[in-house]
Amino acid sequence: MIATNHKLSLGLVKKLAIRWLGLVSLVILAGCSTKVTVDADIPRPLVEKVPLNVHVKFTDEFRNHVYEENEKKRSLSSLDLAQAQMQMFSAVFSTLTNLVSADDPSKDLTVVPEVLDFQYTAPNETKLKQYEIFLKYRIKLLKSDDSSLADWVVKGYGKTPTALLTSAPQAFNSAANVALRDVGAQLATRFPGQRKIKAMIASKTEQKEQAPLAASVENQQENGYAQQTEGNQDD
Amino acid sequence: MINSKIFLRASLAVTLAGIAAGCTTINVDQVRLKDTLEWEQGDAMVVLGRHQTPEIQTEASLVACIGGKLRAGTKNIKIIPEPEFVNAFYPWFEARTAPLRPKKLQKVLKVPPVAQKLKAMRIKYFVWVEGSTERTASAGSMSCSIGPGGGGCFGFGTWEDTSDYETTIWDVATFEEVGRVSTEAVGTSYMPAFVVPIPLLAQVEGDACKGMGRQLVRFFNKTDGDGLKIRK
Repeated sequence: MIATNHKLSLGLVKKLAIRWLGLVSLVILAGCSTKVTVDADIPRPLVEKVPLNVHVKFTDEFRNHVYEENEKKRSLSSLDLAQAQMQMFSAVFSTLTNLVSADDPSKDLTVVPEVLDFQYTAPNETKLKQYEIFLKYRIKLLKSDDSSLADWVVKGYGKTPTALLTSAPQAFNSAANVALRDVGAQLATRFPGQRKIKAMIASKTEQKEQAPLAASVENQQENGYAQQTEGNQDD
Repeated sequence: MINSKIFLRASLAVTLAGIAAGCTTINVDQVRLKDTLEWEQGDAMVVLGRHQTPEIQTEASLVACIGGKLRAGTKNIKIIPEPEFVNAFYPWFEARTAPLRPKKLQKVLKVPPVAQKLKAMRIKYFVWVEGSTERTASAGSMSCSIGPGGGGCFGFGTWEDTSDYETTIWDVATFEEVGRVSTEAVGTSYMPAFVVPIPLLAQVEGDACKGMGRQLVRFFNKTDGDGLKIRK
């Protein structure tokens, strides 16, 4: 009986050794730095449209933004956020405002996002069981004549707990999505409340309200003039 | 002879560990703040986790588990999964923007598209889950080695996990808290290792979910019996 168990345990040990070799190679692979291209999954915000015609300008730097890691020991070698961040800004501003082209005469505002900072941590660096990503954007708001209206700094934070069978690229992708969602949430909820944007919306609404009034006054004046002219003609 | 001694020791360790494994102590407390909960067929409820700070990060697995228990235990009520709800109402229920009090929810519902969607989905109650499961103690040691002839682990490890969760139930019609269920679960896990480590795990988070889920089902079915606190 003992001999049988012994044979069994040897078989088990061999099986375990194979499994451990697999695990060790996984750990070694996990330790290697990775290249990640973030695949954005940001829903369209459930917000009311503001009556502004906005052009979102993505600079070449923003369009091609890839974080390159200089330190070889760190987990990431590069993280490509370009498409994901453009998708997020487009989703938010196309729902929140009327998107127009750069040369549209009805353009009220130009939004120019700029990446100010990108930071990340991985479990092997912090000893915490999570991947974290921190994003910082400066959003330049330009008037219709391209003069500066305001600068708005928005920070986003995202983290993903480590989970079994989740690879480092998947975890970074997930953390980047959480951080982008955070930035998007702030843009969508706070943009209409920004002091200068609020003033712009108020002034545009006032203009819209006054437009029919002015038109009716003009019509009345015209009618009055016509009546007067008619009266004069009668005379 | 040596083999038989080793096997004896191992089986003793396994038996001892087996006796104590899976021991989780759960305490569930409930406060009912509203006596009647009104439901109509097709009404819905959502179970959401709190994530407002890096420290407060309720596990998505627990939130999904509680949702599952409510789905199984309540009739004619739709339980909307957290990811579906959060995506549908983006950006109002994100970590940074989620309302922390019922009155703040009222403010969020002043946004017309949010109010319309909530009405369309017939959501009557919000169940907010806050808390986490953490390792509170650990002891023992284990060493593993691997060589050309094979490998193995020897030793004994034990650890204690503590779950501390509180669910708050909000009524969307009145923007008031209608109840609160809190759960504390403590469980000890063991891992004796003689060549092969044998994990004897206490499912603390799972047990906390079971305890809380059962109580929430009673709360919504109004079968929570005597001893409940009713404030009018």
